[in-house]
Amino acid sequence: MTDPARPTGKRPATPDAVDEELTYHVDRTVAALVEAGWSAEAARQEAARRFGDAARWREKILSVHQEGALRMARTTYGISETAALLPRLWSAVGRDLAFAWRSLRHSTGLTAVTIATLALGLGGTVTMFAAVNAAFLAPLPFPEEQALVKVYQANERRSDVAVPLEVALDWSRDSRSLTAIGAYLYGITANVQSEGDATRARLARVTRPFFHATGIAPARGRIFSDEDLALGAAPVVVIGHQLAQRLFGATGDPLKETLRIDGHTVPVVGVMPPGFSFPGNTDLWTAIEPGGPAAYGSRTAHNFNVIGRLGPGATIASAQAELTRLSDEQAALFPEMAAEGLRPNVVPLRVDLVGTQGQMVWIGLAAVLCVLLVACVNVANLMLARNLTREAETGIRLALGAGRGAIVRLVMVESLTLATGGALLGLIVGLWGTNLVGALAPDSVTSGRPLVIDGRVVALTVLATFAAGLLCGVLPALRTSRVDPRAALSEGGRAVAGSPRRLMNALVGIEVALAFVLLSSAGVLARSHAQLEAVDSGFRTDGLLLARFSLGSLPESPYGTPDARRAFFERLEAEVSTVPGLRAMALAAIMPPGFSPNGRFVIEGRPDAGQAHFRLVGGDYFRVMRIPIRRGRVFTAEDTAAVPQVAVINESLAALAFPDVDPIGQVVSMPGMDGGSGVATIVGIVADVRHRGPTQPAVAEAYFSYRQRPWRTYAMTLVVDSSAALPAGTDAIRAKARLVDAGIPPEFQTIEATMAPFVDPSAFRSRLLVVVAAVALLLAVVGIAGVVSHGAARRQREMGIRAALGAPPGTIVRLVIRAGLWPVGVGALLGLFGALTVGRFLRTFVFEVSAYDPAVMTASALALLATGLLASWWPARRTAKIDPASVLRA
Amino acid sequence: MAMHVLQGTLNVLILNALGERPLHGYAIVERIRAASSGELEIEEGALYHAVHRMEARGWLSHVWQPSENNRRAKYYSLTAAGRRQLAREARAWASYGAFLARVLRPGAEG
Repeated sequence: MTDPARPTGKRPATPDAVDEELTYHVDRTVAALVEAGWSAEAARQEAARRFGDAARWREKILSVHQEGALRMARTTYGISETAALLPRLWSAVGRDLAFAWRSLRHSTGLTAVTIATLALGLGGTVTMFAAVNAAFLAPLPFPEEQALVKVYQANERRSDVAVPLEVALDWSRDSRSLTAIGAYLYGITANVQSEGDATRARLARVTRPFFHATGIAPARGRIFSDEDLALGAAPVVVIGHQLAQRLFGATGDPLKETLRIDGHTVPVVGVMPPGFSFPGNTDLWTAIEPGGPAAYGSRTAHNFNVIGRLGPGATIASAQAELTRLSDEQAALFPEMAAEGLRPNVVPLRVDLVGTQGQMVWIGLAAVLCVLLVACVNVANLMLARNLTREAETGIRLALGAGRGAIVRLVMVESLTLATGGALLGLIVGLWGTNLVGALAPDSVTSGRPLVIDGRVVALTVLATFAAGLLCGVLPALRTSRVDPRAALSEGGRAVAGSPRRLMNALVGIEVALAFVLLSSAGVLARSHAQLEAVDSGFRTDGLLLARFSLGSLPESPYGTPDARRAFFERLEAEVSTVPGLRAMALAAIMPPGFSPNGRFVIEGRPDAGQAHFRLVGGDYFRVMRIPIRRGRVFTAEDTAAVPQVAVINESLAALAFPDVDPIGQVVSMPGMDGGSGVATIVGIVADVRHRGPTQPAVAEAYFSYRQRPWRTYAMTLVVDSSAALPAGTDAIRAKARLVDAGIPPEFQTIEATMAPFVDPSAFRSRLLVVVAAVALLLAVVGIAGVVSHGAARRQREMGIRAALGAPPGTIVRLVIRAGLWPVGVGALLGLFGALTVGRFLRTFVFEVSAYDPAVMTASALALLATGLLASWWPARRTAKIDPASVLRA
Repeated sequence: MAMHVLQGTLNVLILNALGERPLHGYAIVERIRAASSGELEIEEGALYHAVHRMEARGWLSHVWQPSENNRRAKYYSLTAAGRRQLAREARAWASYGAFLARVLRPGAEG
């Protein structure tokens, strides 16, 4: 409605406003002339003639305003002319924004598709930014955490060799660049008792500088004093907040308490603040007395982790240089160290915590950035297609003397507006994504920290949004600004600067190539995961309940002798076997999957047969674990300490050590595997199993009975069928264990939980990539369909003529599809090269499938061609259905 | 043969065209052309220049509004000062026209 009472014209008109006004005028003139029967071209020439010298008039009109604005600025604010230009630029951008908003609002469908596309791309990016943030950026819970380092030893093959205690103590004494160097052992499980039942807790043994290095002081009490560290002093313990709550409740005073740790009475001297559980999930810390390092091995016993804190001004490099110098001095004194040829290796604590899974985070980020790129390509194509319809308008603007800069600016403002819309929606997608990834990701991927969208993530997202906006806009903007005004006026706005088909096809090619890389990577990881899932470990990996008992981590435990330990586990077996419904149970010194000790395997009367892995078991191990017996027998109740030792070997060892004789009846030994000596007669052969984890092949193994070789029984795991009623099973076993020794409580786990670390990261990797690739594929469909539709629309006339000349609809469908498919084919080929390059990074993550798997590559190519076909088919059908007469008349 | 707009008369033609209701530039041209039965030939760029100058002098104001073809167009209307100027110029041109007619009538006043 006209409302002359509401004038808005107080602000001086901007060049864009003037252009809009004049463009409107010329367009109306042309339209009127065409209606009056002029040809489009003649109408344009006539309109231009009537207007006069457009560029000159535009300048004159603008100068009217410029003078006005400058006069106003000078009189109102008393500012210089240059300064007065700034508000003009600002109001120009404001005008562009308003224009962008209007034109976006008018094409709702297109805007919605664009924003949804960008939201998918940016949402994924937000999610992986959150993962990168959790893994690499969010501060660790230590003061000045950037100064914290781990120190290892390294050679050509390994960079994370543990450090001998003596070496760490020398560093701690002599280093100046590191203000505190603490050595520690951790992950020791201890049976801890105050009043009531014993509980299992995780213990770390640390040198005094450990706490100084972390920078965390105890919340109450103290850490270790000089007296505590004197040789032969009574042990004391510092406990964690959580364990203090568990043992003494919120009201108790831990500092007045003593604990029984593995049977020793130890006073509590300090309580650490809530949240401090470094390293791992440690509940209590005891001191390593510097006087007694002999107990912890020689200068070549690589047992200790080392944490250090960089002093003021020190860097990783300077610390590295100093420790290298100190190590050289040590090596000069101790030839055994020189012989090892190890050098110190200083790494930031954060890098150490993230470990190899950090690579996965980067791969994930690269994947979502690919999707973002695909989204940008789509949006660029959509904008190119739409700007074509505005080229006539642009031509007039240019003819009227609008600068090309102003045209570029307008298109860029529009694409940045779209990107901002996409980012706002993308944050919502990202919120959902972080929840999902946070729930699915194994702790190792995020170093156990939650994924959150914090200020850093938002800042990164703003950057990504800006980059996406620029990427989407730059091609359409450059192209639009290259419009030739004369051509725009004379050719009726059709194909003004040459069709952008080639550009659009090139973009489709890029998009398809990116989608191919994602698809093939996802395919490789998914196949790898399927292979992993399909692995038959050879033993039962479900439905087993594990109860781990450990008899002592401190020296001079009541279970210090092999006989005492054997007696404990024999009594435990006897007690647990009375649980009703329990059909069978097994004992294992080391439960699979994972670590497996190995050593020399000796056959009496023959030369060394090489290496074998040593497994100490009890109960019905083979029956409970469902390991098939191939020949002979396994251990029975009669195989006690009182009778000669027997051994069971697996098929690999049988083939390796006894290629020409029957192993059964052979007398063998594995010297040095435990404290015991003596030989054992082989009585049976069992099937190979993958004790070291599903990705590790079976190895030669020899089984011994703990009842005959009780030395290595500091801890054993009781295994029962969990269908014997979980959780009632845990209660029953706990009750029976209490009868044997109330100070040795079991720690329960399921076999599934122990298998999870071997399977979950792979599941996560493949799921992440599959989801990302699916999104990329979806975007590719949209992108291809958009370009093919556009191409088909531009060829409508040609198709109409073909149809009029009698071409059957099938031919037209084929023509349109062919035009759509060839950039897809080229893109897929490019993508194949990309995938071969990316395969290098995936190699460390794949299992029993090549990172360049031909089947996956073929399937990816076929999937993309099918996608291209599908995406072209719909516009092709539509074109074929067009009535030729209506096209030709237009 | 079409007449060209005489120097100085463009302002009054524009003010007059806007006398009834607000118009955008294209409509102003149409109006003037219709009023002159198509005899007046205006250089349209000059018309826009004049409109912008007149607005700067405070005779016109504008609003952006959707037009007949649904695109946004810039509608001008007269301000109070514009109406006074229209009246002033109309009077001046009317008397000037009468004067010229008298002067140019062959044989008049000698």
